Amino acid sequence: MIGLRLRLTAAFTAVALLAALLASGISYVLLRRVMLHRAQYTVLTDVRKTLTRQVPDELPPDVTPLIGAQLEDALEAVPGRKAAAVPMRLDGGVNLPPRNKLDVPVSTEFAMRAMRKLVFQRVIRDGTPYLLVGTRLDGYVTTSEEPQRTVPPMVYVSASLSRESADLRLLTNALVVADALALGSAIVLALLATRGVLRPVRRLGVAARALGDGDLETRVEVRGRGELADLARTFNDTADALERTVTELRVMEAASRRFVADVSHELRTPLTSMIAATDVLAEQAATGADGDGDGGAARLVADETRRLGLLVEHLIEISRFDAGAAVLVLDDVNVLDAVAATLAARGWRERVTVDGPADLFVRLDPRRFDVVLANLAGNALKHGRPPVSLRFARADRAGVEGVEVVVTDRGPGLPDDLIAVVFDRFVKAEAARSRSDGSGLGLSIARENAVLHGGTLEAANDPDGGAMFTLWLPAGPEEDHA
Amino acid sequence: MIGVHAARWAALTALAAVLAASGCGIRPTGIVDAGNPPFARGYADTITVYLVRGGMLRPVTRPGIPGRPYLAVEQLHVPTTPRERTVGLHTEVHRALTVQAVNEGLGSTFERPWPLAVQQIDRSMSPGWSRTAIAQIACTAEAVPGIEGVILVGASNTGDGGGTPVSCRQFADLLP
Repeated sequence: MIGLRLRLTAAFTAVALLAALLASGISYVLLRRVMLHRAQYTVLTDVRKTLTRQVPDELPPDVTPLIGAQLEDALEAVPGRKAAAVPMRLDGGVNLPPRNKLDVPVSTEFAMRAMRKLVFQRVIRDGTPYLLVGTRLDGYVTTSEEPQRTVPPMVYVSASLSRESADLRLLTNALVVADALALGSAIVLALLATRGVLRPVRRLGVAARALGDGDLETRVEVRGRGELADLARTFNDTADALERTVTELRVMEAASRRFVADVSHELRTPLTSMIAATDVLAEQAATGADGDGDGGAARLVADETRRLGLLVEHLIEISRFDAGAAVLVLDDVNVLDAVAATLAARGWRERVTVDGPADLFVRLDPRRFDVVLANLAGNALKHGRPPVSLRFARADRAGVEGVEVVVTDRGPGLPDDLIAVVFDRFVKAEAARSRSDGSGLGLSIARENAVLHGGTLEAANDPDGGAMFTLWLPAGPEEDHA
Repeated sequence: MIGVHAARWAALTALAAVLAASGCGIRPTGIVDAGNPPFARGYADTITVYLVRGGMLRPVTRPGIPGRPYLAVEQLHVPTTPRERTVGLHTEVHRALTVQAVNEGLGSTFERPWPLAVQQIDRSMSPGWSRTAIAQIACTAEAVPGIEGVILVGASNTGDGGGTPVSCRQFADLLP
């Protein structure tokens, strides 16, 4: 793909070159014609005038050689010309001038034509152009007997055109130089002109890229009234429409998120009371003497209510992420201590094998780190099979220092169709979603936390069997909004 | 874009073809007519030549040639024209003559009219001019305006630079 500038420059230059060549070609041809016409006209007129003036209409007998010599002298007065006068034959044949008398030989055909008219021919001989002129005389009086004695001779003249040839060479050289200069200035002008043409195009390109990168307020200045101005106007209109639509969509999305957040908040208070109440009910039912059945039902209501409470908590958390309200509270954390604390708090200390350096300090948000670790370990314990292991180590990614935490289990692993969507909201491994006791938001929240740190969270299957979740966090993320 | 390119190249090729066809430098041509032959319209005074009939001199006129004042003397040896022959005229001078006005090139002190030096072109042969021939030469020469008297070179003493002056008056008996 050749650049627009190069193409424009090439086209510009080609047009200029074409124009220059055409102009010089035409002027060359015209000048050559004029020059040759003038030269030929001069020679022909000289011949005509000399003959008319030098030959009387009636000749004394036997003066052909005399008058011939006189004509030759007169015609050869101009340098570069040679003349030959030969007696005219009256039997229809022609006498040719002796070889070497003229610069070019005279053909019989030329001589025959010269018997009737004043004729000329341009001939190149040994690289030099010559004009050959031949004619007889007309309007003379002769005698009926012995006419041969009083007929004026035929005359041939060869005139060198080497001066015209030299002039033409000079002209050619001048034209070549002029064309070269024209070509050079055309290239310079083309480069300047294309820069002017392409500047708005480049501005449009920059603006389009900015728009593509999400800067919806990008507009370009509309200058002039050409096609490019039209294009700029269209670009601005499109950007307007896009901004309007995106703004509307954002407003709608924000509204729906706020709605979810509001609903979650509104649900939290009654749910908290309900959880407390159902716990009491379940307690009473378990200790009461009324019967076993009621105790089970009350316990079920209490569990489900607690799950509902968890779901609401998760919804509130994720809506905070969506609203961009989540902030990092960074601290220097010993990773081993943080892992141990997380596992101890949930009573998983015996069930998870921890492996990692004891002196690894990382700057991160300990609360969020705890949430992620708890979620990953909990999932492994809940859905996988032991032994569940948690390994962490220092790991640099793309030149950035960081820490990598890998949680693996020995379970069946993730179904292939689930790997791609495992971090999406409300995605669960079990077909019977309703019976799962997770909220379906845990991994989403874990991922949001990792991203908030500027890190990543990936899911994969261990080649040795079992699911493998890899968390990577940079060692010292930027403290944004903190 | 292809079409534009093709058109551009076609134009360039056509231009090159035109230039190549017309060629650089001067091209040869065929034989070209440039009008009718020139008319012979030179002006020259007629000349008077003395011919012989019945032993007597007879002046006749012939057309002249521009720039050849002494053509009459040079014409003496030329065979007479058919028309002159029909009236019985002939010439006694049989060999070509060359003439030179004596004022030219000899450091002469002659004033116009000056004499004319006449000699035979072919000097190896004796002129062998008869009296009539000498009379023809003398009278024809004196008929040229501005000429008086003739110096015959090589007539008697063979080419030693000297010459025999003659005049038409000496041959009054041959004139009509």
